[in-house]
Amino acid sequence: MSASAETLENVSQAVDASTADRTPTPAGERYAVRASGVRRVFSGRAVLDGVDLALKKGDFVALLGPSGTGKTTLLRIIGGLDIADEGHVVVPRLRSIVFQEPRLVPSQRVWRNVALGARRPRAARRRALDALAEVGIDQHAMAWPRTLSGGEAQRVALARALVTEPDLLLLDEPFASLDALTRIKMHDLLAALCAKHQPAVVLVTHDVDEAILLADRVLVLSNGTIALDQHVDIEKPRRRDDPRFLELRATLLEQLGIARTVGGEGADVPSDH
Amino acid sequence: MTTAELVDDTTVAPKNTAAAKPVALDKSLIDLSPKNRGREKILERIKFWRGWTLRIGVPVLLVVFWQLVLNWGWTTEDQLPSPETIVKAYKYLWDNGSLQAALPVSLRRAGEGLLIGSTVGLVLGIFAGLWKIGEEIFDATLQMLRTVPFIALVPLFVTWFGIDESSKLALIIAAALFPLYLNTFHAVRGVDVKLIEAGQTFGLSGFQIARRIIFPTALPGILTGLRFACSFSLLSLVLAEQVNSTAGIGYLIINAQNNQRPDIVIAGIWIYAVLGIAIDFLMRGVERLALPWRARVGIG
Repeated sequence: MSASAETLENVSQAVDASTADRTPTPAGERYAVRASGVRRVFSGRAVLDGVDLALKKGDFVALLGPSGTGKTTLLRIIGGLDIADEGHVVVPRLRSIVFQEPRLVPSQRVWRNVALGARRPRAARRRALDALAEVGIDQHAMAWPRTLSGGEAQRVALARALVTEPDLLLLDEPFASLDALTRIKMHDLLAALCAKHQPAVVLVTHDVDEAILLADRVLVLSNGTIALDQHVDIEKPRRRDDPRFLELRATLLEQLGIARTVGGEGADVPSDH
Repeated sequence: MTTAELVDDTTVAPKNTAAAKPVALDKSLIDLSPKNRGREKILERIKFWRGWTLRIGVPVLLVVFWQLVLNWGWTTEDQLPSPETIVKAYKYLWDNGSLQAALPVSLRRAGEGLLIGSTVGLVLGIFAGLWKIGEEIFDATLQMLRTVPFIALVPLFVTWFGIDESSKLALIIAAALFPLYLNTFHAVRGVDVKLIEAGQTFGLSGFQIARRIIFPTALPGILTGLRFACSFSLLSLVLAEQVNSTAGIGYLIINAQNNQRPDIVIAGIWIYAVLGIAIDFLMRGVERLALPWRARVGIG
């Protein structure tokens, strides 16, 4: 833990350095997220019951699971917004979250919203404008958030999350409230940005296709533990009509408790919301 | 070919068919296609001018009626001086210099009280809004005190602070403090926790979250509080000046009452009324400038 002590932050409630150190860390490989035995109880029910998760820099993991299986809870614990009841959680200090809603400050112009996360205020404006250009809406830099469409606002949220160049990017169903066409564009944008900046990414989603399209690993959360940890061995860009895509889709849907024939309709698992 | 023929003949004027073809409507349908734009424009213009005409016209009509009541002999000048007499009273007050002396005194009282009271209210409101311990320390006390009508405080304040300026100032401070405290507290507490959470995820410190997220978002509520504070301080000014004033508009009124000059009494009341409207107008302007993001039409 000593090598990465400066950039990693321990957000677990009970810190046990010796246990954390036992996690094998091959030379040259830096873990972005190390969580083990994470348990979270809400009113007597263990939503998370012994979840282990390890992510390296550049890993893109999608978290799937039916409603109420604690996907968002796990993301909030990794993001430092919630604290686990038990377990160890070590995450990078530099991390950002994109939520389902854009969560922009209505009284601040778009570029100021992006600059919100910037650490050095003097360079903030320049970097905010660069980040907005990267997500393709720099022309709206001076606009008020309420004048943006849903897709535009979510792009701003993405720019705000990336402006700090985080080591860990957490996405909590970021495209769930977007229309289908905008969602496709956002998938491409996210894939390109992640390939460029190489943060570790955790994407919580209920959209199986989205998970397979974007992630290197798909985890299925069920009964408070990770029931399936599936590598996606399909080269990018992935096509929805690729046989391997369809096969994986069927596997995942089955794991999620929805038995469908390959290529069947209705990939969406009901949302948590 | 006449217009009627053009409209009816779909083959001759295919471009116009949709708009011009009369559609048979039953009760379940409503025709929302644009029609008769000229008439609508006239209606819009009428609406625009109606607003201003009525806003100004109704008070003017009241003054005219007031004058007529006297002309018809329903009442006498001793009981209700005519508007004309009141205008003359202004000239009289101006000529002997008492109006010029009274106005700054009153404005200063209200202004100082407002400034001190609203500053204290703002600071307390922010403190209680941001820190739970602040709320625990003085929220209950302030909530109790605010239910006391400040009119009831007049005799008490005279006992405590004497009959000179300080008791007047204290009353105006007390009147301005509570609306600002309450509105600031609720505005700060009302900021969407999701926005604060978003700030936390970027590692912003508590101070940065307060400055960049909470205050800008709470500003509308704080300005509402300021607006209340303005009108409350004016109200308490009137009240405070009734007690042993030696200067100010209240002094003019009390003096005129003793000298059986109802025209000057009404002239003084009119000044209070105009001050109230002016403050409201000013605050609307401040809100428009401070909250451009709430404007109906976005800028940029």
